[in-house]
Amino acid sequence: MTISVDGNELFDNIDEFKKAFLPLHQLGTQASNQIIKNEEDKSSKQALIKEQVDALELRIKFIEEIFNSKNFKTTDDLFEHIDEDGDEGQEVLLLRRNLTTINESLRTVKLLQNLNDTIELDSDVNDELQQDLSALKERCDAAQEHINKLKSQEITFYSRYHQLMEDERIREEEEQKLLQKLAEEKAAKALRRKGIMKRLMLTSIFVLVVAGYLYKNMF
Amino acid sequence: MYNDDVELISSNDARKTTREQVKESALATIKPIQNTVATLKGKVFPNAINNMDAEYEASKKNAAKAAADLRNICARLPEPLRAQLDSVNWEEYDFAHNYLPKNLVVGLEEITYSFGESGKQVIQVPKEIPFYSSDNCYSFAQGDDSITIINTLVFRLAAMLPYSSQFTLIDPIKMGQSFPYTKRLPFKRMVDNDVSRVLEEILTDIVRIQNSFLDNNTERLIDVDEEILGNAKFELIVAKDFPQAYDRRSIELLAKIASTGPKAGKMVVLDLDSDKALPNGAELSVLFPDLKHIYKNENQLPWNLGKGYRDSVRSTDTINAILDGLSRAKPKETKLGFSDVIEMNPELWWQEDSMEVISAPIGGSGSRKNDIELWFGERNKQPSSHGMLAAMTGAGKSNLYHAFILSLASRYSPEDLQFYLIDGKQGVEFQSYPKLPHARVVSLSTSPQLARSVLQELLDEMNRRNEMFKNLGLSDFISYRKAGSPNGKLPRLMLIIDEYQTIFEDDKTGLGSQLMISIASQSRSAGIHMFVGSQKFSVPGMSQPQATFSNINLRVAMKMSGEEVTSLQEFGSKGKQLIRGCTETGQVVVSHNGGANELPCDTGRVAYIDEQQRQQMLEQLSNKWQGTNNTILLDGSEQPEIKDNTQLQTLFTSPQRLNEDEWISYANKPDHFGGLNDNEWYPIERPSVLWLGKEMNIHGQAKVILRRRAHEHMLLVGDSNEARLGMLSYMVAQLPINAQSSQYQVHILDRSIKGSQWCGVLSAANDSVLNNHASFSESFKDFSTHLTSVMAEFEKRQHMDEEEMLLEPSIFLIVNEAQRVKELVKKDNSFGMKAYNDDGGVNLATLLEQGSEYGIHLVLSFDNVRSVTKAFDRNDIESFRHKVALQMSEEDSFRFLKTRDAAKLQADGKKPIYALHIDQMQNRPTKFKPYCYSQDVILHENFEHLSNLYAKWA
Repeated sequence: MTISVDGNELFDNIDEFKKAFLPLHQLGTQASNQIIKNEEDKSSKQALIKEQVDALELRIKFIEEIFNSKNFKTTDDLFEHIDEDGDEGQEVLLLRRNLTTINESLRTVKLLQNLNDTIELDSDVNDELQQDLSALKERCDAAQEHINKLKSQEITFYSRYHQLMEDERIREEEEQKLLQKLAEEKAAKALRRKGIMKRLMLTSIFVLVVAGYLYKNMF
Repeated sequence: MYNDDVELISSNDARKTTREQVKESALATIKPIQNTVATLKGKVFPNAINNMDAEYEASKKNAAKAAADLRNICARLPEPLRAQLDSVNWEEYDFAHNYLPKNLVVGLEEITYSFGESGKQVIQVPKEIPFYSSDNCYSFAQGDDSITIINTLVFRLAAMLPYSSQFTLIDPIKMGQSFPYTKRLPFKRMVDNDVSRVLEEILTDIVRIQNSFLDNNTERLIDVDEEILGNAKFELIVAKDFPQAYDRRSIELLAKIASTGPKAGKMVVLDLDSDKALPNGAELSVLFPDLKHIYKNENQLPWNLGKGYRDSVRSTDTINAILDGLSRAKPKETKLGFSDVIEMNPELWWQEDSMEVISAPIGGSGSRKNDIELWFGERNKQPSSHGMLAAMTGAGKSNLYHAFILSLASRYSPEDLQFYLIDGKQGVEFQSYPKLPHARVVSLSTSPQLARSVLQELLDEMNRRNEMFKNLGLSDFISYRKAGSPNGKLPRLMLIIDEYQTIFEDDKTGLGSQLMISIASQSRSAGIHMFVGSQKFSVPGMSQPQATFSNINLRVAMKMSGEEVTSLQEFGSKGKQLIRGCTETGQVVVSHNGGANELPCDTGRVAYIDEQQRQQMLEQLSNKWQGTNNTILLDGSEQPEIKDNTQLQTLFTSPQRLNEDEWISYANKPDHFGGLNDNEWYPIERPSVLWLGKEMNIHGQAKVILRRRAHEHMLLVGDSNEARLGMLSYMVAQLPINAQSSQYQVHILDRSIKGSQWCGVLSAANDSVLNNHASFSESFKDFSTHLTSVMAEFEKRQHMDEEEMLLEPSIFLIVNEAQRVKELVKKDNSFGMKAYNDDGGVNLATLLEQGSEYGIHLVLSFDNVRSVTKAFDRNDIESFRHKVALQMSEEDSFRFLKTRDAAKLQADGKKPIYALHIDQMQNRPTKFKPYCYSQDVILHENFEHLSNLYAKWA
């Protein structure tokens, strides 16, 4: 006879007890694991939301810092922000970095859009969040577009600038090469003259030696 | 530089515009970000927290449930199986259950479940070693905690088997002082200096258990069905301080027990000092090949779920509580169900044929529940004709009878088997069997005389059968059945007598012994068997027991005292050894070969059949039987009733009053066919049969037949009014049996004291049955008128031709309480002679002397012999052919009957009332139980019964 797990009757032997106990032990172990996992999940998800909120608040701070600062002038000239190599100057790079933070908001939005996958939310809360995220995304997309455009224009500017610099450099190089060539030719001419002189001297020595020999042998 | 480059200037200008757009669009994101942050902070975060909390709470609930389930399931582990003995409250445990220790708990595993902030749950599960299910022998390392370890094992086993554990705690060094509680254990072997002797006893016990319970199908005692096992003991033998304190012989015996014991429920545990060598270079591993360390993990049955610990009984409170509990506990009664032994479906009953053998499974042994069988007849050329049973009080003898009878009754139809069930003097075992269709005779509280008459009846039946076989040219019952039962199917007859010593009581002539020897030696061939039981095989009063026992092959023994077993002659030594093992109700040893040692006896347990089940089976058997149930019930403790008179019943099977030839035929018919068994029935004598009661045998009915011969009168004497009045009233009521009302006359004088309970009984018979055909007088003055007319009739008949006189109706003069009729008292006359003062007395004396030859019969009733002698002298008394005496003094008995028999009638008590009928012609007293008057209701029931019978003939 197998005693029911749910019953109240006593077991007749330990084998019966074992049969009934082992499934409960498994459930107990699962419950233990589950509760620990839930505790870990809870703290990690709390941190996740807080992180997102912090990130978003930081974005606002960045945007306000960037665009409300006196440094951000819509009339500034790129010609002012060229370094010695003709690349973007520090101001431009800083601005770009700052603008990148706005882009990161988009990543946050994507993360938040998937929040419901990791954190169970009530549907109305999730809907509201999605609406907010949708509006945010729309704005971010627009900002992104302008930022990209700005970057593109800067790239165009600097690439043109580089091109001009390159042209200038090529021209200078060619001039340099020409001068060098002239110098080399001059040097080669001098070297050739020197070689001839050397050969003449050697020939005269040889003639003298031969003449001496001959003279000796002749006499 | 390059300020003149158009392209550069153009892109620079475009950038300026875009920068403005970037600013605007970036600032435009602030609002939705703020909204999102607000939503996250205000709604998402709380909602997420809520949801996670809910999930967490659900997990906590799950965890709590899991923890509770684990605790609950551990709580459902019976106390003796729990991990720690010390943690059990033994004072509340009832020790009512046996937990067979196939394995024994010796420790525990501790499993910890962590439930986070909710805390931890620690569960202990018991850890076992294979015990009686293995062939192991166990040891543990000798040390300071040896006694604790031994105590733990002892009390674990004692708690698991409160009634079935036995302990042998060998402590040679301290002479048992290590285990001071031993004497309080319910079952133990006390070990003295002679350890070897105790170990030899254990080995003997192992052999007994092997013979009793084990076979190729059931190799271990632990596998024997609990219903059959009963309270057989599982033994733990602990050898402390092994081997240093043991001699070689003891070690060898221990080794033998260790190797053979586990199968027989004997387990050896050694408190082993492995550094000490065994004597004479003996090797431990050779002597104890199956020795295992108790606490080594590989020898245990681990769960592998937690950390392991050993169990230790350290508290003396635990030990005391368990010992107290064991002393309080009552052994559990284990019973093998009857439904395990026989087929319970009535449709499948009566399938067996009794031609060669009848057999009845009554119980089981080992793992089988129906292999204990009693059989009668011939099997494999071995005869087993009769059986005997001996069992002390409380051994289950009655239940064995019930199991035996019902097992047979379920297998064989009433056409194949019939029973004679005889209860001893005080017995009522068979009182529910009259409804059994197989029961031919059921006799309760049977008197010795009746018991002997049953044997006589069976002997007569045997002779009748043998005569029939002889006439048919057949040798015996089997050949008769094989020949197709030419004279009708004969059933085998099974006589069962409980307390069969009754047969030999008051048996000065040795008739009972002789009858028993005859049946035992001769009846097998006639298909008649006997199964008798008592508290012993040999019973007092039995002469020539060996002559009887030599023909009784089936011996059945149940629990008996040791002395009785020792003195038994009916079983050999092996059988006796098994009988000693019958310590419980229901255990039985069966031998079909006279208990001889040559063939093994069967031993096991008889199935238990309770009252309700028995009644149900009887009801079902009764319903299954289509024929009539003609069981004769003889109740030794009750007075008979006339409506149960089988001779009367046979008589009234005729649809009309019998003619003379039919009367002759009926009278000549033997009494076992319901006839009168009287070969002297001549109608010309106008015989009148009047039944008085029931004789002390199966078929016999006490009766008087009054004929027209000399002195055919009747005298009833005794102080039992209910018997005298009963007999008289029923005699009056029976007169219409013999003749139509025109053919007899009755004159009744009832001198019962007016207002007493006896007054009116005779008149009731006259009213109810005779329709006042009789003259009824309460005073002699009134009666004398009728007496005078009878005298005139008498004188007339004296002068009539004999044949003419014989045609005249019979006249019955019935006087009750005749001692109160003064006119009947003789007084001294003037000559000093005793003479009647009244004519009435003279007339009665005249009629006594000569009346019966002329059809005038006197029936007188006196309360004592002295009154009789006042009315009649010795010669007159001799003139009553029929004298019926009730209990009286020895002197009266001798004076009345010339024997002292009437003084012993009520030797066993006032009830039932016995009477003695002396027919002067045969001068042989017949003891019988008279019809008595006790209650009006019963009297009138019987009168009505008779009236109905007469109405049938009318």
